[in-house]
Amino acid sequence: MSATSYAAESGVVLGVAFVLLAQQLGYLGLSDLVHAIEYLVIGGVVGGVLFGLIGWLLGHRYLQQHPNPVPPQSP
Amino acid sequence: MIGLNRWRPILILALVPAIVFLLALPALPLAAAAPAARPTEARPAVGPGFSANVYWNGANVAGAGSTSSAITLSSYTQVTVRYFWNYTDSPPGFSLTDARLAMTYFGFALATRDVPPIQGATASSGSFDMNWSVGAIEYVLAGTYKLTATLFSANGSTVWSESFFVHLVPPYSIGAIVPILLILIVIVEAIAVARSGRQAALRSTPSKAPPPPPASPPPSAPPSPPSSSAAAPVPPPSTPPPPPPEPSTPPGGSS
Repeated sequence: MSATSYAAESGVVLGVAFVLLAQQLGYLGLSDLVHAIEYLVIGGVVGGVLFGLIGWLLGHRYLQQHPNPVPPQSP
Repeated sequence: MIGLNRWRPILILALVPAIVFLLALPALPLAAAAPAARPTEARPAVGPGFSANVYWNGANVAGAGSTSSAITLSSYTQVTVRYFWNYTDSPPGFSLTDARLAMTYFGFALATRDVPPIQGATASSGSFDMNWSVGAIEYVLAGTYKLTATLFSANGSTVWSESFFVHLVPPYSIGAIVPILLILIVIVEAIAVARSGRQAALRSTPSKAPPPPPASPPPSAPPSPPSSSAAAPVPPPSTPPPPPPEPSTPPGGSS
């Protein structure tokens, strides 16, 4: 699994969690089903794309800092 | 240009209906566009010859029609919801029998308070109080929710309803289960994103790592047969080798 897809998966969860947390903190209303699903889908997509890009940048930076990466040794 | 001239009549024939359709689009009664144009804030559905109001601890809920103007409700608070009604027709064409207050989340009713029958509902005007509390939900959920106050007639139809928003403040501001779980999920996933750079190293290891040196056999191991393609493979013997000949001796002995 690449850094991009790994971070994108976390980003989808983060986007959905941010929407739910915004509702729990009082910044958003999720009382209507259609609007709630719209918010969740938008949050998941935006989170996946945004954090996928962040993951790609982090992976690129990690490979620049560690030209010869050594995989972690299993015991 | 020759090709464009050849396709020009077809383009004109296609553009004319499209432009006519776009010009007539605002006048078409599209059923799908009606809910999108409707404001999210629900307006009271007033029945014929009837008007009503709801007061939340003395404040009219008409001013809490959006999430930004939601009524703040702290935990452990018992709320008095007062319904006022007034028949403008005399005699009224119906009578109130039921009042309901429902809190919705994702379109489903989380908490419903129902008061049937309404005392004195046959008078031309009146009011009654409904006590309401969040209950055990305050330990689970927080945030902004839509409440709908409804008055029903004897045949079960909705005479009047109004939606408003309430902001539930949990104990210690985040002391409900769902916000705590969401914060933990956000922390765990943020750590996972911060460590996602290593995934690039793990993925690039097989392609960028130097090839492993040729394996040398251990000194105690028996020599392996040559596996190169230059040497011809030795077929296994089909029959065992003959035993060595025994020395012949005379029958008389050696003396």
